[in-house]
Amino acid sequence: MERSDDVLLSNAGMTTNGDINAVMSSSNSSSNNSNTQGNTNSERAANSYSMPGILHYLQHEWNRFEFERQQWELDRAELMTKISFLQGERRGQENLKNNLLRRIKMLELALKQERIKYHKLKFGVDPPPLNTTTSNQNDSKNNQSNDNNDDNDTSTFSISQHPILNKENTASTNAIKQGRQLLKQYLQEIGYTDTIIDVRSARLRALLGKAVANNGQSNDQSNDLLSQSNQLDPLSNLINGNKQLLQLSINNSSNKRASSKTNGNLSSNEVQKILKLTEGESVQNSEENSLSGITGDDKNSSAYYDDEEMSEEDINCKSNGDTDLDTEDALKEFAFLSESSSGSDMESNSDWNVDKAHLSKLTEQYKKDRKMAKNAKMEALVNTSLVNTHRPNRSTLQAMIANLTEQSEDNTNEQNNTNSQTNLNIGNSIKTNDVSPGKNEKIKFNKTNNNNMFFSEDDSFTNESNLGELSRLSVDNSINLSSINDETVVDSSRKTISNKHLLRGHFDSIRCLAFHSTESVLLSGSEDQTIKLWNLDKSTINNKKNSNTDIEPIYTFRKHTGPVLSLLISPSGDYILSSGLDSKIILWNMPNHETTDQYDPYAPSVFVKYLTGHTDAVWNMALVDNTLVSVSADSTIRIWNPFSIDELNEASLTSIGCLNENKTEGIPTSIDFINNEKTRIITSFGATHHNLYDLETSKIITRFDYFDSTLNTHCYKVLSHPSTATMSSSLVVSAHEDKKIRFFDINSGKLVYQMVAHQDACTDIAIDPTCNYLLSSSHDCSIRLWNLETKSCVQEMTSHRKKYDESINCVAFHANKPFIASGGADAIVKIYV
Amino acid sequence: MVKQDSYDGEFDELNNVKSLLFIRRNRPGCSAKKWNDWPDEDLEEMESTLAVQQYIQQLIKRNPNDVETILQLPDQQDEGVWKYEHVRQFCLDLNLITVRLQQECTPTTCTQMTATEQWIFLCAAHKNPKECSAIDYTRHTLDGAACLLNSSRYFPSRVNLKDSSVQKLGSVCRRIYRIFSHAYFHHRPIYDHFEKETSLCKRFTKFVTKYDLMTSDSLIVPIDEETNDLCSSNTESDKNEQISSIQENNLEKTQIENENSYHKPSDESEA
Repeated sequence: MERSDDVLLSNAGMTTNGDINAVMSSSNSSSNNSNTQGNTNSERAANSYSMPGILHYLQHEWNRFEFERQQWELDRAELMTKISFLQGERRGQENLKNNLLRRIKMLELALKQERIKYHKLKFGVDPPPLNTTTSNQNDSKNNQSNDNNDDNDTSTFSISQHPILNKENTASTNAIKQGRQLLKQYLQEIGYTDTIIDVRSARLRALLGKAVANNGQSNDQSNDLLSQSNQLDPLSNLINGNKQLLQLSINNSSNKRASSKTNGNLSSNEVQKILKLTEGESVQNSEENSLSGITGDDKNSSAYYDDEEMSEEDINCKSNGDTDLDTEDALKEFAFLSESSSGSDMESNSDWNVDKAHLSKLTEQYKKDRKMAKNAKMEALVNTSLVNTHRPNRSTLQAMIANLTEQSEDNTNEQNNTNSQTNLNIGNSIKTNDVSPGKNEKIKFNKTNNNNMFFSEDDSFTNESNLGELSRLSVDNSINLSSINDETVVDSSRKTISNKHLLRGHFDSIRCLAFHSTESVLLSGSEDQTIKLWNLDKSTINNKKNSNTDIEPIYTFRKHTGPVLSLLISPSGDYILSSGLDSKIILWNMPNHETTDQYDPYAPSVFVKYLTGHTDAVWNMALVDNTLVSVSADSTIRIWNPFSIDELNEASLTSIGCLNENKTEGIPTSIDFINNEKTRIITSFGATHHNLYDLETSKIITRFDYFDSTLNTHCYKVLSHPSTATMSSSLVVSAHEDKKIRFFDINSGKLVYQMVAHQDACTDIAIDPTCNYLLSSSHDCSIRLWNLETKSCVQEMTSHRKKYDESINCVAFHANKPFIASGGADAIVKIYV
Repeated sequence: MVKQDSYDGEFDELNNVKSLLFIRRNRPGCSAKKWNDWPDEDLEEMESTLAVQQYIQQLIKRNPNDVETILQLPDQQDEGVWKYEHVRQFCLDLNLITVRLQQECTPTTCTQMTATEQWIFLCAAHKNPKECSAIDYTRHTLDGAACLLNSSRYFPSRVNLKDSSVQKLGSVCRRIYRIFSHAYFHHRPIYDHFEKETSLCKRFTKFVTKYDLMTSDSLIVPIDEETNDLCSSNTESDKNEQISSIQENNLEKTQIENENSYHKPSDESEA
């Protein structure tokens, strides 16, 4: 019994199925294992087993086996698919490799022919046979590890070492400049400019985003094909890859085999993606071309060409559409080239037998497309290095492309020199393309990006965030490309604004700002009843020393007994005029901004006098020469002569004229002189209309109606915009509560244009000294820069926080320095440069 | 009664809706009377990051003399921010009395910053302690406070404050209080007029007492409810005053040291 109990126990342990167990135990306590049943205790066993129990058990066992068998089959099928998948992939790779090899051969041949032809043209004789032999050697030696060095040697020399070539470059650049100019004119005549730019900038933006995404994806794939879900940070991968790349380029002989393994992993899928990428790049490139051409900035375009001096013979841009396509084609080839070279690294022994007919055909085609291809060569350089970032084994290719770009004669005598030069070159180009593929594109665009900002309405903010990197990278670029055009940078600094300083010093909302006409001096008036004087020069110096240093005001004006609402600095810079909710206008002496410190003894002489007359808040003032006009909530417009000598001596001053004394027009909100002439003023009246007054006769000349009963058209600010070269007639521009900026014709008084400029009330506008740009601020916490000609938003900056429903109250341009200031309800003044 | 209540409730709701719809802006052309003229809003309803400042200003506008309400810390309000915003508001409001003091308190009339006769305060705004005239002391103190309270080093944010920064408020309070004391003892008409209008000194005294930012014996300006204390502070013995004045000077010197380190941000010992 003991024994059989043991057996039962072991039996229970062996059978995994509960049902069986139940059957066994229920039938008899002394039951046995089914296997030993018949032989050992036959009698008892016969008693202990019931027919249904056995059947059940057998059925179960069969099920189990069947189940396992199915699983095995499944596994097998899975593995089979895997095998076939990998086999197919391998086949695809091989096909691709063959294709690429063919292409690289073709291109090499073409290059050789080009060189011969070039030599013929230049020296009138056939090139020395050494040339051919060397390149032949190259072909045959391609499998050797040092072949890339040889390759460099044969074809590289630097421009700086060959003045003749340099001359040619400049000549061709000039010719291109002229052509570019012509093209630009045509385009302008067609009126094609704006649309093209818009479309292109949109496309560019899309591509920028897409390309980066693609990069990340393909990189992931190369790392681990089967586990795509593997969430590797593509950027860090790329950076690692780049490091490797750099190393490789420095020690040009390297472990190619290891890296070629990485190549082997590439799926055809990835190659397609890379192709896509390069296409994208080519489109961008041509956009770059067209942009620089169309924006009409000579400097820009010349800068562009200066940069491209490296690719010597250069671009022959027929039309934008053509270039698009051609560049794309050429680029495809280059992309293939890069692929094939990687292939050559991988399996150098494999077929170099090239289909001759196909090759010659392709070569002809290549010749045809030669000019376009050259256009794209710089591009290709960047492209290839972009591709490199995926697979860090492409130093050879890099060298080849660098050679192509330089398109130089063979000069075996200089082999040693040029060899080192090439290496340097490679290093440089890698530097440029270092860090991430996204940045690769950015580098290319660091000049055009500035232009793009002009045309990008929505993405300007992201552009701006890129600017930091860009500015840093442009330094790199200037090292690589010998001739960067500084003027581009200067030019763009005017147009791309970025936050530079925070002026914290007020306790409450900033209401008004005024720049000194010549010095880097700013005045800010606040609801905390003070006016503060800031010296931005001083602060810049301090900032360089210690970025943590706050900019402190150099003087605080305390005389107002309410919020300060309006500020002016006299053209000479000697006087300050301020007005406030306390219905006072105060004339101040400007303290010396170089010597004054806020902790100096109090000088009562800073205060000159009150201008008395208004009985309610004075909201706005305007000054021309000696004539001051002011608008107040008491509905009057008063005219003053604040600086006349005999009146300076008086303790206070009364106005010399008053308009709208009978309040028939409503309450004036803002005022400006027309074209800075003291004869005419424009005044906005609340939500209804502007009036154009003749100051000599005190009569209304024109009335500008803008009232709309469905909207709150309350006018915050009205400005006169003088006629410029681009705009024949003078305009009146006004900012309104209903988010709109309105433009009126000064003569007819008719509304010529209105635009929804912001997402909330438009609070202030300022016109830049060149009268080409308009700056607007809004309670939606943003300031926007507008191109007045096209009425398109050039840049948007979000800044300042809300207090109540107000956020930004005022903006200002410096008259001759690249300063922009905005004052917010958060008591902070921001300076943009 | 029940009906009445429900009606009131509806009315309140209506008011709430109104206050939500109201756009709180001072548009150009608005008169001084209509400045900030909008329905009150609860602190919780204020979405702005500057809600505390808005709330304090709203309470002051409603009734500047209702000091208790103004100083009542709202539920769930961070005390540091509350104190900071109040000190900002004090400095802001002190601008007004400074404007008035400028008219009669000149370097010739008040050559030294004094309150009671024996106490001379040195201006801590300078690298080396200076015996500035009263008006200079006032201006420098306010300017210095403005810089400190707006310093990106100590107060980079107005929403989250470091405890070490909140401790700075004590010295700011001690210094700006001397403006009250000087005005009270030397320019009484201006002070009285100003105090009647704004109750600023009263608010300030209650504030520093409530949050223990100043010792009670240094609060020498009497406020309404404590008129009797005036006598006691005046009847202190000469000896005591001299000692306290010396102490005050010593204290001031230590403050000056503190200030110096503020003026040299490279000195990180304090941070």
